[in-house]
Amino acid sequence: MKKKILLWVTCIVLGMAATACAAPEPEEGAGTENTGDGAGEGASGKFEGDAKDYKVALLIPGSLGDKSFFDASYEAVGLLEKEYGMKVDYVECGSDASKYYPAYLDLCQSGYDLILTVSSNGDDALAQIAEEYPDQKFINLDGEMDEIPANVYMIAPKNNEMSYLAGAVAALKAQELGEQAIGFVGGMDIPGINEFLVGYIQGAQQILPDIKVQSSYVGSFTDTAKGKENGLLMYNSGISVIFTAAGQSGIGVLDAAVQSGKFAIGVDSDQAMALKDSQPEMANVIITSAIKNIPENALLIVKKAMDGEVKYGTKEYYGLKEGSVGLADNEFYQSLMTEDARKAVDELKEKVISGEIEVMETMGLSTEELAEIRDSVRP
Amino acid sequence: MKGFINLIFSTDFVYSIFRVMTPLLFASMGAVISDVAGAPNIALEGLMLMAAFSGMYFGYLAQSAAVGLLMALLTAVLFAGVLAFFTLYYKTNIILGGIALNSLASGGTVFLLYLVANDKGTSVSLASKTLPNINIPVIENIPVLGSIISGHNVLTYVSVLAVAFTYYLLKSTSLGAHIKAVGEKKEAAESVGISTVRTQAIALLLSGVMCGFGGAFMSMGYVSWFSRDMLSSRGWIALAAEAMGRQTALGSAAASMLFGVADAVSNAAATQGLPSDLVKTIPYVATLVGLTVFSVRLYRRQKEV
Repeated sequence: MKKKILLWVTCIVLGMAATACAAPEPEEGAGTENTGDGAGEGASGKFEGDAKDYKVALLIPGSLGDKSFFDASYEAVGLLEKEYGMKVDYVECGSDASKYYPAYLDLCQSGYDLILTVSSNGDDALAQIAEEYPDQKFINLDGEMDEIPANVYMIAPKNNEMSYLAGAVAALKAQELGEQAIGFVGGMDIPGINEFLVGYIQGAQQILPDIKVQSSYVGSFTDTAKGKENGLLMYNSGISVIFTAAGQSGIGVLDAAVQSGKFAIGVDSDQAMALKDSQPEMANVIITSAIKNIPENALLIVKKAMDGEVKYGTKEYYGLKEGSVGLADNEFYQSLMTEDARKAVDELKEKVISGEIEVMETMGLSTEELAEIRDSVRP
Repeated sequence: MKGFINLIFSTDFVYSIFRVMTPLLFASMGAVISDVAGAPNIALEGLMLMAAFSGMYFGYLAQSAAVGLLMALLTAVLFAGVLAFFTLYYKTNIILGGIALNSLASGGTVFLLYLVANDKGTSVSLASKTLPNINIPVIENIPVLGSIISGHNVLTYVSVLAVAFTYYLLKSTSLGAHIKAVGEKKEAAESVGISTVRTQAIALLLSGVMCGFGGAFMSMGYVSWFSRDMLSSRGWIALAAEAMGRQTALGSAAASMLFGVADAVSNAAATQGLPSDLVKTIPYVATLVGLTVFSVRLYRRQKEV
């Protein structure tokens, strides 16, 4: 008897474990109308029904709480619900890459009209599943892929453009303080992070052609203590402004700025406003943040997807021009930057939008070329 | 390169070594005590993580760093007790128990963090407290030395005391003798009336205390918040330091110091633009070199005898 109960318990536990990463069923259940390409779609790919019935799922190939694009993509869930009344199911898969494919499989079998994802973490799984489910539509809200499957659409935010403006802000602040060097702390030495660095350098050089940019990598996106060490070392060496693109580790840099009485530039979300209430002294040293509007982009693109206007199989860059990236303009920015400096930044922004200034593309840059750029500005 | 040399010989840099070293010292002392007792505690990472969370949260609730520290210690001791209970009383394999605690800590703290801060990454939205930095009178006025030794977090000084405590405990107390006896040969210890379960339990609880301090330092001294997996393998590095220090308090402290120096050097090197992938291997290369030198010396000594 005891053994039998044990067996049952084991079965139930295993069953629960197996579904732990599975998507919830869409509300109406998986009836016949929900299979394959979706009965609600017309011949042109336009969705005829009510927006409420458009079934969207979000697969997060990482963990929430990164204060960066995963959190931003989760914000998109709420925004879609608010704007269009659609209920978006989301799956948070964690950092275990082996879980992404099964999670995609579950979503594909549940008959969603559209599956959203974010970041390039899940690229391999996405490429595989896109091939196996050619009728299923996928949109990556912030990614890069060399070969994009015919049913996948990529939004590629121009991180280099917002970093360019961040570089200009940092250089202007250094100029104001009479200094000739600024800093950059990245999470890891990877293309996605170096995109920020290269734009940052270019923007700084626009203001002060001879400026030096000291850069370092924490080597982890979660080690806040090590982020602080990196920040302190840089501030102690006489640098007054650091731009951080290091996820959670970046908060360590902000803390280092507080401790040294210097300044930092945040990334991805408006970090000063996010920290304003709980950590006012930290918010006080964040001049601005380079932000991407992932939730707004999601809103825009889902609308397009419903209208059948998304060009699947391609990627499109979303930059300053589209209003998809930019700098956080808040009270701290107003008080920490002089009016002239802010004007100069605005001018640069206009020039980038009009195409007068072209910010360098970093994708496809070789490691050597990148090292050359990095070393040429090292103090 | 000149900038790098200047950086290495600055007082800020030497000061930072102590800061980097503090959690390693605590954890390696915890490892020494439990390992000498024959109950290797590999849950250092997890215990520190739980202590870090608990210290941050209760410190925030009570708006008192002292309460935070106390709760951090209690939490780590409690879970060390859980480990002791299952491994000593129910005879679970202690390594498996340690792994279980580490997993529980990693996932559990994120879960609790989400409950209390509505955030899965960091607790910056909770204004928690930090333990004070201490300026040592007289010494703080000595040039160079003062700015290196004085002004550290109170727990950094406690970590040095922890080494002294562990050294004294194992060398000169009867409890230390019991711990060593139990670790050396259980049966022999039992034959003279030493309770192995009791002794090992005490050793594990003491290692819990050490982890409590280490965790509290992370979230209430090093930085002023808790963040997911914030220990970032410091518990495991301490375990390596303990192995390198051959289960002695002073040896492990020296090894922790070596790791601390290597880590600080790697931070400094990273800001100087030395290839970052290479730089990150410095602590591990230091371990290898240390172990090699050590075994060569041991080998020579044995040959002489």
